[in-house]
Amino acid sequence: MPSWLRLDNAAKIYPAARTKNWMSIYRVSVTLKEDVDPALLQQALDNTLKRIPLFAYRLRRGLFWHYFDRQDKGPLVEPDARNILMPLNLTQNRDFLFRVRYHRKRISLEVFHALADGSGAVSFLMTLAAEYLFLHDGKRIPARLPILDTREKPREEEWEDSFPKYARDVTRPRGEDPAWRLRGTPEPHGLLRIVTGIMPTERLLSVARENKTTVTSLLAALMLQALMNRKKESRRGRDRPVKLSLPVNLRNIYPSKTLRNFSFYVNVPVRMDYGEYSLDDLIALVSHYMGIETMEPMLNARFSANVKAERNPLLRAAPLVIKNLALKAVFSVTGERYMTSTLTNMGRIAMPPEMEQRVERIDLVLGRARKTPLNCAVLSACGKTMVTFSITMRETDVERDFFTSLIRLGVPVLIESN
Amino acid sequence: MILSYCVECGVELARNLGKCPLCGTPVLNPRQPAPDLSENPNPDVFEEAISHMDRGYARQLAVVAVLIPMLIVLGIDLIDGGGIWSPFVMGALGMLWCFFAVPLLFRPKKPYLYIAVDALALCGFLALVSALTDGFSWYLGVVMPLLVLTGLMTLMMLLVYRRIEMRRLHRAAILMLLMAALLMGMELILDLNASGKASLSWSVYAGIPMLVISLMLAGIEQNKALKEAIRKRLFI
Repeated sequence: MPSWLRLDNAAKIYPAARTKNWMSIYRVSVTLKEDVDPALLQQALDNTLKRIPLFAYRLRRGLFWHYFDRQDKGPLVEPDARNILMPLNLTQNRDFLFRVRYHRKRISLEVFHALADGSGAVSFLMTLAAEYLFLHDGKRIPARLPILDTREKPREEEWEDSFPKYARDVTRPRGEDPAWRLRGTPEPHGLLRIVTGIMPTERLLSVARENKTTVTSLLAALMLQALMNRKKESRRGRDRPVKLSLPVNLRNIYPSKTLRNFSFYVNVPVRMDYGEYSLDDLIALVSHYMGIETMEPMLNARFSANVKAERNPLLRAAPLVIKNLALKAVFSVTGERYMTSTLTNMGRIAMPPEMEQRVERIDLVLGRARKTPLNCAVLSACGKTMVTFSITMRETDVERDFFTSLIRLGVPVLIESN
Repeated sequence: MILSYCVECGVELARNLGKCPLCGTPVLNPRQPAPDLSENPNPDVFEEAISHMDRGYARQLAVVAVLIPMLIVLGIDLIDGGGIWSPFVMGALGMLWCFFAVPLLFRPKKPYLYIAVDALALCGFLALVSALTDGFSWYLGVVMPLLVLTGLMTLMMLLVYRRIEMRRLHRAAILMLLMAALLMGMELILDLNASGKASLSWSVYAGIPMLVISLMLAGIEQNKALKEAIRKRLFI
């Protein structure tokens, strides 16, 4: 493992976009069937960091770019708090870009997006949980992705920046229509409201099949519908499309094994001023639009534009201070301009049966966005699909609309909230 | 196993919830009168937020932002022939800094400090200009008294406006009188400087209507029916 690393192509924006009160952060949690022992968890974390040393880096400033600097020791596990996903204090938190927290049966991993995307974080968390269970009762969980074998050595492909590796020279112009912006009454003290809907994966799958679509497209269509219903009550931005940002895991397209960022997004637009859309229309719209936009050439030409931008000699030669200011400005103007909200689906987390019987659930929670007051993360494991909204406004109509539509389609939903 | 459903939304609710998070409807389950808080999956401890804006840093930045152009100007002027015009620019920059950086950085809860600082900054800048040009005669005779008078009267008006409890029209009347006094004071200063004699002329013409208006305002405030009639016809 090298003593220092360049930030990957997608990560470069995050340290610059970070402010005193905000950073792009998310959480994955695994809930076991018995209480977590902090001492064992600490030992499991130290072992996991030896297998995945990528997480043991800290962020440092170079003259021209930020870089990751290797650390030998890992952070300490800490008790969980009620207000989750507060920004990491990169100077006090012993400079790590993630933290591991525990509460009763739950182990949570909060990760700064510059370090890894959801896929890398799930891999780290599952490896950590498997190691914990091994230390707990001496039986090794068979290592199958996303679980890595802690007896093996780290592999170079796990920390490669896959964007430049797969990028080509031809790029696609980035022009897009600005999206209608969701607004609401802010929660006091910047509280992050978490509303989770838990539903049986099998039932959700069969409802998706009845509608001749996938779970992601079905949920995206329902989310678009909920956002559109909310837009009907708003007078602002009538002519702007409602756009839902759907992250795409590029590892499904390229044979990359990286644990760092390797995902992209597609913003699905719906023009409400053209007329009414039924749920079937929305499902068709989402699946056809995604069908085109997630083709390899279409995606490649888009992320190649970012790789090309990073290689621009003028940008590269600018000192970090200037670059930071420029990237900060770019992010605050365009960062969330082209989407109304995000719905990310991590899909089904596969586990060996030895592990599945020890795990109750796995959750994915997005941190607050800079401006967008509502985002949604979906993850399926242990036969349950968890749909988690992260909300910074008081209004509840979007998530209510979303969950009640699911119930009308015949999917039972159990609701939790913090 | 007790299951609670929201009667409005149809969703099943976790057992630690007292009301539906989606619509706020209270949970009414005769088998489970109170929410089961032992099921709460979240800890009660709150993590402390990092404090908001770092003012110390912003102040340093603001100082640097003024110092850099000052030094550049000084440098150019020295190269150009020896510090002739740069003090004017530097003084003006310093004054502008007082005007804009002070309210932004220190956020005085009451604006008195801000007004005092502004008046002082203006005095200082003009003193610098007069020191660099013809000497202090016009500055001491006219500019400083005018500035001090204006500053003091502004502070007084602000005090009346913000602190002293009274009816709105009374307040307007008093502000009007203060304004008239300010004009008269200005004329006195100008006259004393120009001719050495104090005689009031134009400020009286301005002051009399102001006095009349303030008396009218006070009168209207006394007469409720009149006030109501005016309000009825003039509302926007």
